[in-house]
Amino acid sequence: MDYFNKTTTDLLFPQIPLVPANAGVTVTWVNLPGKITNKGVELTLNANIIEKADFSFSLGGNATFIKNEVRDIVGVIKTGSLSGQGLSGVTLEVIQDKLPLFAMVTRQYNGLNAQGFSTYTDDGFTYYYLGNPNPSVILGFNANVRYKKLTFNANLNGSLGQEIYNNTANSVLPVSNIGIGKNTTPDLVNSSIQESLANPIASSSRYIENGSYLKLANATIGYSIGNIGTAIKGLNVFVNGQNLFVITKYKGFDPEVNVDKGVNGVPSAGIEYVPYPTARTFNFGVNFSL
Amino acid sequence: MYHILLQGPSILALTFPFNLIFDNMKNIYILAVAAFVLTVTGCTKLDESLNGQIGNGGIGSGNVPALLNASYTAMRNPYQGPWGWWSLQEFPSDEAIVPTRAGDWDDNGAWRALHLHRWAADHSRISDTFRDLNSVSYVATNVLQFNPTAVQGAQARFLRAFAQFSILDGWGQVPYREPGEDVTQPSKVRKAPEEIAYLISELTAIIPNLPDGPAYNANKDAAKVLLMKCYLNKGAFLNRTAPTFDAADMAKVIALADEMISSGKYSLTAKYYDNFAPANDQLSKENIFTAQNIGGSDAGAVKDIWVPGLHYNQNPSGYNGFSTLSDFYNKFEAADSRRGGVYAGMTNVSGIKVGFLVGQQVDQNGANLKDRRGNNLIFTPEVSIIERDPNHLEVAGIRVVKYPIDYANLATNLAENDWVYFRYADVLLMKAEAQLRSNLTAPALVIVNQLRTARGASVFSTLNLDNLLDERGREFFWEGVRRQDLIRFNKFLLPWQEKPADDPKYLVFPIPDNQLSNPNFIQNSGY
Repeated sequence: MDYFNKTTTDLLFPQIPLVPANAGVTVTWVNLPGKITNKGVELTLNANIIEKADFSFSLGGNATFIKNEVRDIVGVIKTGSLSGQGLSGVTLEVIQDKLPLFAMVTRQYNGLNAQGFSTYTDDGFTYYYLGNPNPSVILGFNANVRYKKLTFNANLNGSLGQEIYNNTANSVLPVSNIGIGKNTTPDLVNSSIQESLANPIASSSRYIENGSYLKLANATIGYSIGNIGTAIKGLNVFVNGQNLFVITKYKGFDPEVNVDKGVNGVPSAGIEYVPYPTARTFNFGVNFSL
Repeated sequence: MYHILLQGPSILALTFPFNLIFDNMKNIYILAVAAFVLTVTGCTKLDESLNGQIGNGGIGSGNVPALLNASYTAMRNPYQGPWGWWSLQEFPSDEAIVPTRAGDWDDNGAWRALHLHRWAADHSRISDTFRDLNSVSYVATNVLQFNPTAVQGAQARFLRAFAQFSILDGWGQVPYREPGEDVTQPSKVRKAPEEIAYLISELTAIIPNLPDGPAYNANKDAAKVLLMKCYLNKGAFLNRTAPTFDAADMAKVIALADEMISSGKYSLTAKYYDNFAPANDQLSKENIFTAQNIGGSDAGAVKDIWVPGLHYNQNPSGYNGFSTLSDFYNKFEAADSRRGGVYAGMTNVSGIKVGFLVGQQVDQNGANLKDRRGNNLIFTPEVSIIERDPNHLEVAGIRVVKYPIDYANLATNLAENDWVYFRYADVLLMKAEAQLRSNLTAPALVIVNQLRTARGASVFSTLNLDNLLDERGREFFWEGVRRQDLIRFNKFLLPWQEKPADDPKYLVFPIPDNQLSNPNFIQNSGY
């Protein structure tokens, strides 16, 4: 069990020039006076439950509880540019004093009104801190079983508490696609209030989703045959699968997503915009030495 | 400089993997039956040494003609097309609106914020325009450190004064640097009284050294028009909530106008839209200062003055956004040539007219165009800040084509039309306004009626500030001066179509958030 309190200072930051300046020189790299703190507790537990000559079974797990905060930054650094129709020039995330790194600051969505239009706090003119792309808990589990020459091991990982901005749902699959030859999602058609086809595409907390997940990252079954004759030594056959299942409420392809939506070299976090889905991969393999 | 070194032990492994990949379509691909995989592992050491240093902004050459040319080019970003300074002058006014059309043009409410006067210090269009105007000021200032000739120096100083006038108009305080100053340090800032005095002395000083023309160069008359604007707007820049007009300033405006009128160099162009045509450098008799665009090879974003208003199904295909308001359109008499109509070289190519597009739109053969849902494409005078009827979304709002479309250069998006900054009509109407504000109503009425007659409108029997402001609207609509006019006539905070009455803080724009680390800026009050 570890306690950690890590402070990152002298952040390298692309400072926008103080005008008047040449438009060709976009940024000057400076060290910011502010800092980023990561505080938390890390727990690790490993247990060899059975340990015999021809049978063993062990379990391991670790959990990291983490809190991230930006301190003493002057002003607001914007990043996380959103993409798509109706979202030109829109940025979602900020690096700002007393908020987590890449805090999502946007309009507060209050549902659809009877006419099927989105409603927002203060008509959407005031933005609020409504989403945090940083997880509060990072989890890892592994299991190893050996029975005679047969081995099995599996790794699960997960993280809890982070939020994802679903830019794909926001601008690629809006309800206004109906009637102009594009697709939308069944959720928007089969809802209790029919969303108006004239409802503007706007960034808001409507598209901030719970990104918590638990994923079976990989599992392997192997069988050790041993030596065959004198030519082949240590023959081992195995079946391995990766990305076998994900438990999540996130509606996009994969909650383990981070499409680069940085602005002027400042990175972003936790925004999904039409990424390739993660492949589910199976390998059958043979290992030996000569 | 990077050095990459591979060190340490390498391990050679041989595997014979059989790969089956299941993608999410549940297809199975047998990728490889056998493959040799050579794996080399080792340590990688990265030595990094930084040799870069930002000095005074990247321009270090002493080639003065090239630097001066770069100053003209720097004007394109903030001024040409509707995205920069134009958007800040027009959308907060009574003659332009970007309705939110469902999937289109929400853009985080940025366009609505402009029309409704609800912008904040992080509005990206305001901060980008502030940056780009200041970049003109910077690049032009930079020319001065390389011993330009008197003519070159005067041109650079004119371009700097031109950009600083816009910054003063928009933000009420103007940052500046000395030639060669270190850009990593905060710039000094002039407040409005200091800046207006500076601009007047600067323009007066450079006029003798400026060339007589052509219109696309900084020239004597361009500087005189800008000087007229300094004197005319001075009272508004110093007190935006209650502008006052000093008799001596008005006399300066009249005297400068008379210099240009008596020169006989300019006259009102017979066909109003020729002033904006692809060949406007040849056709216009009244353009005093323009930005030169060379079709197909070297041009600013002048084409974006027509593209964003046109519908997707028009030629060229537009972005179906920008519109004007019906109250503004209704200020025009039917016979007023400024309302537009058929234009040769354009209507016969695509069916699109110049001026205001309202009602059924047709192609070059007169056949009705359709919208994307298959309904007839009929632009309606009715327009809302948020369009809520799915069948009205695409057709709401009268569209404006101020610059005749350059079909010869559609393919390159580099249109030939020179961007128009100052026209002789403005000299006439500014003179009339200065006379009216000096109680010389009779001669002012003569000037305004001379212009109205030339444009095909009926003559006024009386002249007052209200109908003069309307006349300026009809003459200069969509030329990026409306906000300045509304503020000078003290009407900027009044309610108008799709805009409520609002707070005096909106008479100036906020200093962008990202510049407040310069301690010489004091944020404008209310932001």
